[in-house]
Amino acid sequence: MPHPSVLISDLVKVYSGGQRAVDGIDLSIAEGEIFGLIGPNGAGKSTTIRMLATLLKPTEGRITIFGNDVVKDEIAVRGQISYLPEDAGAYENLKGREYLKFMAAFYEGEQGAIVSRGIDIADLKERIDSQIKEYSKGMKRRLLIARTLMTTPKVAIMDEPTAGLDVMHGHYVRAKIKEVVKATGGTAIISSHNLLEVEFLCDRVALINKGKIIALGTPPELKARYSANNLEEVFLGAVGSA
Amino acid sequence: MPSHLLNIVKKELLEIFRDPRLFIGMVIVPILVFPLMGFTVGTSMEASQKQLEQMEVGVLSYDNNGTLSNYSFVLLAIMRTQNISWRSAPVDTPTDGISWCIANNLTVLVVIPANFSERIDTGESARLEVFQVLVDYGFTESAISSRVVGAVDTFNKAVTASRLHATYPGVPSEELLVPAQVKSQSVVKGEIKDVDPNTLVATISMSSIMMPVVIMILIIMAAQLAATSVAMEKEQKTMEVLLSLPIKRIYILIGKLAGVIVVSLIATLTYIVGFSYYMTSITGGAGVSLDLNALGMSPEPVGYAIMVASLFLSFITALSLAVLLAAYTKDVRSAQSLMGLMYMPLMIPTIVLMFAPLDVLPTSLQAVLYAIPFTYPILASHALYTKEYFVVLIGIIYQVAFTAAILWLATRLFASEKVLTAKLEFGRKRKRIVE
Repeated sequence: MPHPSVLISDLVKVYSGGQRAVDGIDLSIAEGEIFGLIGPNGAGKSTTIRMLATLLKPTEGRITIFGNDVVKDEIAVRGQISYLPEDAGAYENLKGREYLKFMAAFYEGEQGAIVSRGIDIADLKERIDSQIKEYSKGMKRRLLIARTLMTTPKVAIMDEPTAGLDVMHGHYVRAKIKEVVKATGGTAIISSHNLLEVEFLCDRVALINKGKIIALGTPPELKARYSANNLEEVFLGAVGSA
Repeated sequence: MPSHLLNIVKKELLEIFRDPRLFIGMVIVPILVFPLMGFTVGTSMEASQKQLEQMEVGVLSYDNNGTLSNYSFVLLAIMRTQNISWRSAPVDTPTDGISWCIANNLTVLVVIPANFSERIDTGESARLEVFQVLVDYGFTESAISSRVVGAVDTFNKAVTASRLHATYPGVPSEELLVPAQVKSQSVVKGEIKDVDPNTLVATISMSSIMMPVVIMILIIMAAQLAATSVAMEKEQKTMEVLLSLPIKRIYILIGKLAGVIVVSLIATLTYIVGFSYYMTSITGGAGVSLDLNALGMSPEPVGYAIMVASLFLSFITALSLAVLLAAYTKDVRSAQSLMGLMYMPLMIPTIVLMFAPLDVLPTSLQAVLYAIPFTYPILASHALYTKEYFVVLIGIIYQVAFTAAILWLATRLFASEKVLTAKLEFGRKRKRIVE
């Protein structure tokens, strides 16, 4: 197995109200892997992803990204990751190009090259110079995907990257994620309810329910384990038996 | 790291200046609306002044059986010298005279009694009657009858002076009419200033009242802007990405505050320009007739420096408080509702100190005001003229401590996950969805 880029051990997250959102997760994600997190609503996927993105602190356990601890070395971790939250927005009064320039300025590397890469990934043609408030939901998402991937992050973390998109935009975003991540050799962690998307994109998948991993493997392995034709049947079989 | 800070400030400025609601509120309104208001008020006052200058009244005289005798003639001649023209009412009774005035668009009827000249000749008092037709109860109407009364006053002085000249020939009328004259002077810090105390107090209190009001408006606007900026990040769901960037959270906080401060400074300038034009338009510049510089009473540079320092600290305190409050809300509407909590401590010092100095207030109220950091820029604006800086300087030390504490709290909040998980909403039940 290639060198691990992300190591998660005994991860627990309990919110101040007492809700135990993540309950002892252990994971090792390899460098260059596209890893999928699937599970029902409230399973703990977004909480796990937010801890990976240094936004939430684990109650117990540890996460390291290329050896950096997400709590102790948070700035170093943030330099290695790029995070796209679910339903993320962009600054409505900025133009697409200005938004990419603003974001690129926080990362190391030649700024012009980073922004050019972002413009290529977004592929919004002349609309890259329009204000974001004039964009459709699909155009905004393409811009946000471009923002996430243009810095060639070591680990791209994406929560529901195609949620709410029409078929055309959804197809474009999925294709770009696979193309860019595989071309740059980075790692990607994707949470999604779209199991066809997960099957298309991910090398391995973890199924989370009630804060715990209940199934882990490549899509073919999982399908074989649950005698299923697709990941949806895997999901129903695993969650139903959990 | 400063380049990251500048990047955030630049983004904040672009966001604010391209938001039509904010741009209109902070730049267009003061630059256009105040001068427009000033022009409108100035024009209406000018029209009102012209109406008064070209005043015409009706006169119903019973003196000397209806013809003008010597004193009636003198009175009406004085009215003419004061630009009050008149027409004789061709009627017999005051009631008919009023109807005649209304029919002829005259607003005042002056009734001269039958024995007017005779009574004055014999040293007795004669009673004129003045009827004013009121229509709109406006500013102009309040001045109309005063002009007639002013002409009668001039007539009285002329008659009195002519009587006194018989006894004191060669003595000027001004001295005969005012046997005891008063010259009021002001004593400031033991030094006599050759200026009437009322004029001096009016001049200084004008700026002492106006400045705190402008300060309060600007601080409220800046705080609203800061709260909106943070709440917008949450509402547009851009906050999570911003917080995941490889920079220290304090730079995000300082970048936001700096952006709002730059916009507030521009708004301050536009407000000063717009408001000055407005005040000049309605006063015709009369408010600046007293030259404080010539009296040696103009504010000192140190006074301005202390005021700017106190004002700057108040801005930082208000903005940090606004960010702190807004970070606990979910959207712009909730943030703006929560900002209402800040208005009370901002308005109390402004309103209270507008009417009374701090040291004459009850001790409990004094303690409350001293505890509010926004009291000190107002005290500093008063100290510009009193030149008593001690309390303000102590206040600045207190402001520094207070501001540092609020900034520390805001920084801690931005560094913690509460900035994402706290979701205070108004009108809806607090709810947290966790995946």
